[in-house]
Amino acid sequence: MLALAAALLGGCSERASRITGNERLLRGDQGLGTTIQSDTLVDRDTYVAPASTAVRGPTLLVGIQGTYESKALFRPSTWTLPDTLVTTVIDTIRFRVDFDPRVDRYLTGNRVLALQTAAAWDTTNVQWPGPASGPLLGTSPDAQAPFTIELGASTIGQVRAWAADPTFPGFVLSIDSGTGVRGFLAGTGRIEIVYHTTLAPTTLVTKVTRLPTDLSIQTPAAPATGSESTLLLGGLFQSEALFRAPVAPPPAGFSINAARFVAHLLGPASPDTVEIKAYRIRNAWTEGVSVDSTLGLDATPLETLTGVRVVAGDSITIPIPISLAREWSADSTSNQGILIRVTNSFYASEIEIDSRESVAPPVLRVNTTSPPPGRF
Amino acid sequence: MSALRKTWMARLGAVAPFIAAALIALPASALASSAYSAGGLGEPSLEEPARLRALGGAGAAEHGPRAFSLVNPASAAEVDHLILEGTVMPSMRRVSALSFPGETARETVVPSLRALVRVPGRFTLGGAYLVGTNGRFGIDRPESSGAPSTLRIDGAGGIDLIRITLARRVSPSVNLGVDYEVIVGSFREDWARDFVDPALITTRDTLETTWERQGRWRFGAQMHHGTWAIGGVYELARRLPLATTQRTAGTFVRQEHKNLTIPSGFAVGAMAPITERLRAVGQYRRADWSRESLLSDRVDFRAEQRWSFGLELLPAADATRFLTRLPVRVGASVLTWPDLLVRAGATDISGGTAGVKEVAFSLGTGLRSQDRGGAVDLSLEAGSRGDKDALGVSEKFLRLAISLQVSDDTWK
Repeated sequence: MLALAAALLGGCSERASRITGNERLLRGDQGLGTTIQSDTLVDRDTYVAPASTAVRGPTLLVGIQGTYESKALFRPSTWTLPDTLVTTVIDTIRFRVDFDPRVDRYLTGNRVLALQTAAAWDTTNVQWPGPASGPLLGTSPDAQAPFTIELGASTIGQVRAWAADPTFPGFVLSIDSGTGVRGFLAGTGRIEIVYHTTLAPTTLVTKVTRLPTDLSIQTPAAPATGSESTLLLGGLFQSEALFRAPVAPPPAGFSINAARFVAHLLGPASPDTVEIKAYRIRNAWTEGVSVDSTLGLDATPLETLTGVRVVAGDSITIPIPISLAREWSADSTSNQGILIRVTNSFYASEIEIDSRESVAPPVLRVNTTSPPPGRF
Repeated sequence: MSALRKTWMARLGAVAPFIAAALIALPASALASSAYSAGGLGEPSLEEPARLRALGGAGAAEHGPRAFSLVNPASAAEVDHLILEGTVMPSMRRVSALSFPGETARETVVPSLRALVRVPGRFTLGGAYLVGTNGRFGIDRPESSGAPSTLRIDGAGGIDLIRITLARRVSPSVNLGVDYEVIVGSFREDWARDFVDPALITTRDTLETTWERQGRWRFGAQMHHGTWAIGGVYELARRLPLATTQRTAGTFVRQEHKNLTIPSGFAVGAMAPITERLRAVGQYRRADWSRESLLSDRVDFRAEQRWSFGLELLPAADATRFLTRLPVRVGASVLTWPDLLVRAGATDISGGTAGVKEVAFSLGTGLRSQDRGGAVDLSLEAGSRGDKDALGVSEKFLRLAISLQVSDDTWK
């Protein structure tokens, strides 16, 4: 008996231990709870552009594409000039900046202008059209790498004057005609002075003045009316799409298991992949909203989708955190929907999405599960 | 008679190692109470200690300073010490199902704890904790209704009882007793549904069934003469307002429109000598559960009945060897569960119900301490229950009960 007790008690400590597929669990005509999926049409959608026309980031944009125009601003912090104590001969002075190969699809060989800005600007408040342009310093086709505009050796006096002027406003890079947008790598702009001394005429020396303060400014996008059948997302204007759909409170006892916006993609098909971030909108908005600054966006995205590739006819799905979906179902006033934004959207083509005015409107897809049947 | 006892002991000694080996060899893949505990009130629990479990649970006529029953409050009337008694019961069940592989479950429960003390006025006062029903179960199963998922359910709880006992020997041959029994406990189920689709968040539901904690009276009486005794118990009904709650993220549903009626019942039993050292005990116990006890689409009720019979061979007064000083007890019982469960394949009782019948055979022995103040009793029960064709599963079970009784003479 003691051996028996030991055997049984030993077994008690084992914890695996389920009864799989217990046939005794059938309870009631509701089964064990069923998960269903339902789609709700969005009741508001539109697209907006960022409130700021300044583009800060890894890429500087210069060009014209339809109603889009952008230019890049540069400013030095300290100058590096040839030593004046020895006799120097200036060979050349040039403006250089490295291409950003991620924005090259718009390359059309236009002439790029380097101009002196005629007024001061600051990185915080500058907006399109930016400071007035000053004298033209040089031009160049955009097919060279690194992109170079020769300013000429004779500008050394002007360069020394810029260096002596603490209020020197900087430079602007733009194109004057045609179509095309070129990307440059931020932080790579520089003025290079190539010279030699009379004592060593064959030894060329290059003094480089970096232009660490840089950004792009672009024309503002035309505001949407809210009645378009196509929503624009990303692209050069960095359009942002907004969706809002009601989340009906589920029947008592039901739980919400998933919620996501599903939108139909019109195109254009692209081999590029993009990153899309979804942000919660806090403030009430109408389809006439024109900029995102009034939306009360959360600083932290709800969701980040990476590797999104546009395939015409496919759909994009933006998951909504389940806690937020439940909040929206409990308090409809807190439901102002979401905004989606493409990170560095100028790397890829503008994405077109069917709006609620189209034949394939976006929907909020919600999964709910009925409660398990009670014991009695 | 000595030869008979030796035969029994020899059988015990021969069988026990094989049973132990079998228990060790069996896979332990399930941890739960009965598979039937997923519905209804759960597995009915016999509250008696190992000594009476070995006699099939027949305790209504049991009486004496240390031989008492939890069924009959009058049986405590002759207690003359402070006595503490507890039982622990490891068990093992083999579950067979119609369409799923069989599984083995192991668990340990404490079916009863009891304290009795003699108080002035020749009264005995007692308190006890008893398991009424065990609603514990665990289930993993795939579900394909709607979105495919895996369902994990942990059930716990059951009906627990707290009894306050007052008993007195009113004459040399008559004991009377009364219990005030508080019905406590609850049923709880935690459901977790993991979906195959990773976009779907796991659903978690909690179902709880609770009732107002109220009590009822139980009255017992015994008459005995020599080694003859008869006993009886009558239990009053008690209606308990029932509340069910369901919680999941963001929602809470509470319903209070049902009642659970613990029905009236009775038990009658007798003890009779067969020879000088061999006695027989028997008992019939009934609780009048019915459809009106709890209106539900998922369970119906019938009277709970238990027939118990046992034989006890006492050691000879002059026994000196260890084995010959052990009593030998054998018993049998038949229990009909009160639950009429939904038949396999049906979704509610309109599709038909089936009851659970449990047949068990038991044997046991015990050791009493040198000063006769304490004891350790063991019982081993083996049985089966349920109809696989009707209910989808059937079970075979093996239960070991170990009871420890201690007393303190300072309270005499």
